[in-house]
Amino acid sequence: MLKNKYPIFMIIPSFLYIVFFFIFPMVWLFVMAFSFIDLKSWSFRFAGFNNFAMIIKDEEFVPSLIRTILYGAYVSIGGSVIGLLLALLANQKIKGIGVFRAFLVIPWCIPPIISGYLWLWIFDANFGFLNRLLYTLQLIKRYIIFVTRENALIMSSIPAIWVQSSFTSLICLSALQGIPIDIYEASEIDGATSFKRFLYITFPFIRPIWALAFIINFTIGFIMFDIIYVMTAGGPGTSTLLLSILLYREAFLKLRIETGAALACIQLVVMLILCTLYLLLLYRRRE
Amino acid sequence: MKSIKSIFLYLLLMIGLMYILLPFYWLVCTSFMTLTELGAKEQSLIPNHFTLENYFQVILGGYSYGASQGAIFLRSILPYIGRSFIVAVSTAILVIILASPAAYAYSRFNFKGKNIFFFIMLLLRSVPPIAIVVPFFMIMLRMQLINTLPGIILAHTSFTLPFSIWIFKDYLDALPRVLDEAAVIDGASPIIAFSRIILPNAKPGIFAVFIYTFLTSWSEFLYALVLLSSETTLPPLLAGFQAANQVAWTQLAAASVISVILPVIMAFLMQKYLIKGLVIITKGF
Repeated sequence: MLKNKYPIFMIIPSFLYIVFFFIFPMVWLFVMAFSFIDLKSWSFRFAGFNNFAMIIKDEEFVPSLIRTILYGAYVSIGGSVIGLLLALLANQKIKGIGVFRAFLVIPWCIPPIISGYLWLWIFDANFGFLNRLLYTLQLIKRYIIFVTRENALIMSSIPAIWVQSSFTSLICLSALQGIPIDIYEASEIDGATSFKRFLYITFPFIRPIWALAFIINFTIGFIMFDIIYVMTAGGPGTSTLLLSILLYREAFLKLRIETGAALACIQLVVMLILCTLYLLLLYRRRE
Repeated sequence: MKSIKSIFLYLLLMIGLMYILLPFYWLVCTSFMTLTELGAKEQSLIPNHFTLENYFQVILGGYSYGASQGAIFLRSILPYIGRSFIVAVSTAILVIILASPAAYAYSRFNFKGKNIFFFIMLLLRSVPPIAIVVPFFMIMLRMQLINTLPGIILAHTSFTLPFSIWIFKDYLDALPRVLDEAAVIDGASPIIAFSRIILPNAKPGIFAVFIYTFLTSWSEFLYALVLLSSETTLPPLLAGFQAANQVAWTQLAAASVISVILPVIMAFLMQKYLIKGLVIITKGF
């Protein structure tokens, strides 16, 4: 239809940019993960699977991998369920619903480290809102420490759940608004209860999108760094030491660049698997 | 029966609103409190001695004297806001310049390697920024762009670009092809058709890309932490408040309120575009 040489010129700038600043770093990541690196002389020496062996030998690795998967699961389940409820609520046709919809976007649009702080403030043992509220209502005699070694992982997933529930509700709401109204009207004439209507009309309609949100929420939890960094920084003890925090410590605090790169490779592979799942869902939906 | 149902709905709505807004309540309260008041357990749930001092201290900088903590030196937040703003706007502009022609080519032309390129874009979207932070750091070290704003702008551009092309293409697909084909038939080159006809008509798409990249850049923490050491953007400054183990709570609250205002206002004003960009995640190609 149109001449063929123009599209190349239009694509080349972004293509080169992505090759240089995205694909090249990815290739280099794998090179680094399989090398011994001397930072002073910039010399690389082939190391085989040595760096990966180092990681697996590290007693922190397996527990932190399990914690990361758990954290992803918390964010995924919490964010998706609460997000769906928020979307159903925001889809009600009552007065003032526009205000609610407008506020729905807030948790998702603010910087994650501030979400971390917000909830840290609520749970803090000395200045936290929850302690003060319970104390004022005389439900507790003295301030409680809410974030302990046992529950730190769940507590630190709350800000991420809060953010992802906002995200989930936004995409589910736009799906809900795409449901043709006459389906509801027909079901009302047939005398379906609202619960049945949800079960047989609403939910099947938005289920594919909800499933996508479920996976996306998991990946967000799986790579979470910001919220953990400000809320617990991996502690107390190692109770919230996720892969991302471990990676940061290895590469930038202990300056063991190779092991950091090897950790990143593991993260990357998991993410690619999850992304394939996401694409499969996306395409099945399209057909 | 109907009114009971609507009362119930409003009750649920109130709970939903509290879930979203209550976390902010204590942040805002704390930012108007003195440290002494914050530390006292007997105080009520609202600031009694309303003060703007935290905001002055955070904006002007200087020494702050806490209740029992001795003096803490606070840096003025203004240069950090400035840098965050410069980085976010530059990233957004760079992304728009790079993404819009590419998206146009995708939307309108058939060419060799189109599908492969698109597949790469799709795959890259799943690469989390944290996974390539180490090699990116090394490249910036080599290019001597550590601790410079161009370094962080390049970083933010690289991981918002693939998704931006996707957002923009979706908008262009919705624009009638007749628009630019008519221009081409009249003798204009596709470049002219793109810049004169398509871009002015694709403003919503540009807004959507702008707000997505701006908010991502404004919030981004890890790369700013790793690539910038002294003159950072806002997030590392905020994260650094508690690093010294003496959390300047009230000042931190004020700084947090300040850094949240801009994204919240932008999200309110451009909500339509923000959500349209977001919803693209649920569409295929």
